[in-house]
Amino acid sequence: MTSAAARSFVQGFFNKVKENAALRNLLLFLSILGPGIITGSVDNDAGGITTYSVAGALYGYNLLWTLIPSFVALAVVQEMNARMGIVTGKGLADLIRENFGVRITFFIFVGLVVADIGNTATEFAGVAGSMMIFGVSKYVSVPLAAVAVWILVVKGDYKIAERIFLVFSLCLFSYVLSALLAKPDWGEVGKSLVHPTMHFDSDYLSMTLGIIGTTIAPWMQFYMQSAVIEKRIKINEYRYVLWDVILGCVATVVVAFFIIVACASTLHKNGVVIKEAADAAMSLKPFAGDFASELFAFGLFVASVFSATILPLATAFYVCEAFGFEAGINKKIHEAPQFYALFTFIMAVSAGIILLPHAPLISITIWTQVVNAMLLPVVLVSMILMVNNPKIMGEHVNNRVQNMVGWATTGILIMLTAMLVVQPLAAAVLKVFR
Amino acid sequence: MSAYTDNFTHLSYIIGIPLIDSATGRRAGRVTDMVAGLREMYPRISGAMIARSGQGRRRFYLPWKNVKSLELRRALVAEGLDEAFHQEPRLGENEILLKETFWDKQIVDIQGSKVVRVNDLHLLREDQNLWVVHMDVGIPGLLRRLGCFGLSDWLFQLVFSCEMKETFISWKFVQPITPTIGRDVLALKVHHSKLSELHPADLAEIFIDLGNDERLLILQSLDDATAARAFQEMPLPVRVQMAEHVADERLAGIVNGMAMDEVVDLVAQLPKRKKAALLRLLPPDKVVQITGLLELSRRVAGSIMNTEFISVRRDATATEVLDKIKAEARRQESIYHTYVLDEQDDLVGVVTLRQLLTVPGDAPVAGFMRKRVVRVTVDTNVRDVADIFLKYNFTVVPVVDKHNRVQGAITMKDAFAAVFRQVRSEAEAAK
Repeated sequence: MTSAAARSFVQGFFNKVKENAALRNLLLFLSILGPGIITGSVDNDAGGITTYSVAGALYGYNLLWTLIPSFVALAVVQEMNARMGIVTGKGLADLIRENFGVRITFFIFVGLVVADIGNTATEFAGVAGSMMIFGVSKYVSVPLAAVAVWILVVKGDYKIAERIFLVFSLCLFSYVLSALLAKPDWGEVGKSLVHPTMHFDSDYLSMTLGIIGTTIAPWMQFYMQSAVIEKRIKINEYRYVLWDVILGCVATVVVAFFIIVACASTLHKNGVVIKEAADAAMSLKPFAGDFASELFAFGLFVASVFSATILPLATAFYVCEAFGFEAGINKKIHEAPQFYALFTFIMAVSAGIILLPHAPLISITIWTQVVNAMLLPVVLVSMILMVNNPKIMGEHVNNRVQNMVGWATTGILIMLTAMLVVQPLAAAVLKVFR
Repeated sequence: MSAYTDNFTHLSYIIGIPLIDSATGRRAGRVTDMVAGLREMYPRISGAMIARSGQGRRRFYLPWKNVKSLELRRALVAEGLDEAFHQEPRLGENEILLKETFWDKQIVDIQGSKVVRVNDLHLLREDQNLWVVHMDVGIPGLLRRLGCFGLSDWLFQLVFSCEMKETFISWKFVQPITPTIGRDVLALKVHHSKLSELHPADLAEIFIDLGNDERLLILQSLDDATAARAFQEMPLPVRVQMAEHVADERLAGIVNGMAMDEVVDLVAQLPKRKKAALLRLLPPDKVVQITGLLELSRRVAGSIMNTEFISVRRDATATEVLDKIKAEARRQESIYHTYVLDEQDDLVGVVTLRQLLTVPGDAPVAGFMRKRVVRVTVDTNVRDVADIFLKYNFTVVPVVDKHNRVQGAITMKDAFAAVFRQVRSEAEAAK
């Protein structure tokens, strides 16, 4: 009897859905939801959290305004990826290989693999740092995390894992709580958002670039497009994808906002200088209490593990896609040997780097940023050229507004990243000559 | 020149080499692509596309008969250049550009029934004549394209003391799928008939691996029956995605060849305009069935029943029934059960083929029919239908409306398939 009741309830629900357009739209949206949100969450990885905390600790609320241009740039770039994925049904790696040949593709992918090893290493550093707050040694936490992620991907069911991560990405909102516990001065926060203050000393500039640069990384474009294809989204569902993209970008920026606020209202006010995200969690303790500190560390841990899973996986996937090897987590090891070999290689190397007694974390971060900065212009320019090619996109090429925003974003990003690369190099050169 | 090892070469050793005018001995341009004719069993090189020095992006056609000698990775020496370059470059009906069609593009490997990406082309050489014999899809091909095969091979041999393994696919098993050259042109030139040899399930896998344009291109070349079989094997989202891009008439042709329940699944997910266009083009009796079934939820018996079944009146004799079965057997899904109806079309009994064959020919069915007929109603849940098949030992169950009039019949296979689909989609939704 109960099953009959349940059945009639389900039946009634379906009928209601059929009749109610708003409800139907909501369901459709939920079924498509994911690519944007996940990309946005992975974006707030250990590297991102580090940049935001250091920015908050160093400059207080001063740099909050950078989040607004970051948001616009992020949304514009990801929208183009989503549109390309829907219209062509092909991954970005596929498209670049087919339209620009094997050499550019090779250059991009050597860069992506190198940058990804660096990125994944910072993720494991995040794991090590955050678990240290809970008193776990890095020689325990890093190998355990690496093995757990490996088993999850190779032996486990990734689809389920992805759902878990999606729920976990809600944990990133623990930063909201952290920030509230730190009792920020909201008037001050509002003022610095509306009236951006610009300084032209090199440290301030490089911090600004750092925030925007960490928000838009080359791998994201590839990930976003593949995720959209995987969802089998049709062009008439485009507006739902657009909302997914915007929601993902909002999530990224909101989390970044609260990290900056949390660090600004405690560390900056008290003049504490930090170098990495784990320092921030540690230094929060005296000002905002144990709980805020642990929340911050927990958020960092989740973000690190999440990104340490997605990054190597995604990189292995694009490389295989571009060079025609079998790839995909639903394949067995003997069906896609190159894919699993590459995944394992990236995991092993990046976890290994962190386990070195004196891991050169700062230079890894800088060099990863340099490689990313070299890749970004190539990827973005290829993207804009393809998204404007009617042979590829048909009627869905960029319109004039999209192109203006797209080229402007690309141009500014290229300029910023170029400055980001040149600056530390110039500083290093100057040091030598002094 | 004719040493055995020189009999094979690679396209990457020819693309980009300079063209030398044999009259002057001077450089006249650069090879940008090769043209091959598809008339023979293996495509034969019939010309080269040339970028001339100082002529910008314009390309010129050099017929292969003008070629005097080909030195791999060095130069192509040819005569009569002025005359050849005077003509507009135009491909013949059976000619394709090799680099543009294959380099970095996907092809279907018919033998392995999967989609692979081409790194290079492997050519057979006899004096000046060249034929395409293999697609190179291996790592050595990739390295050759990057121009570092020699070094890598040397290192590899040093480390592993064996040669790098080449991966070739014979032209016989190659199905090109490049749409970039202009869709109609290529579709006409390269027959896709090889694809119809594949099992529909493999074909469906290949469709899943391709981009949208490639899917449509391949679909264009398949006949309706093959396309319909492949369609049925695809996951529903992919099926819907493709259906939305196919022209209405063509879609109607494909849908006409699909099983009714699969059609209903598809039609239910199509956007309104496409659905209306499709229903306009399908035969009227199918449209009635589809719209009828669409009304029903996917979870009730009516949505999976077959609307064709054999029925007779109570006073029909065994011989008459057998004749009717013979006459209708061709279009019936199941002929084992015949339903007996009274004057109000109410279901009153069932006779089996076995009974009809064992009773005297003049016996009226009312005398030997089984009167207790297990039946389901149009709105019975498919899970309950499947339960009935598990409980009783028969293969078809009649479906009646609320006035006890027979509307159709469900086979055991359809019932289990529907439940399986439901269970699977629930399992997927749970993920």
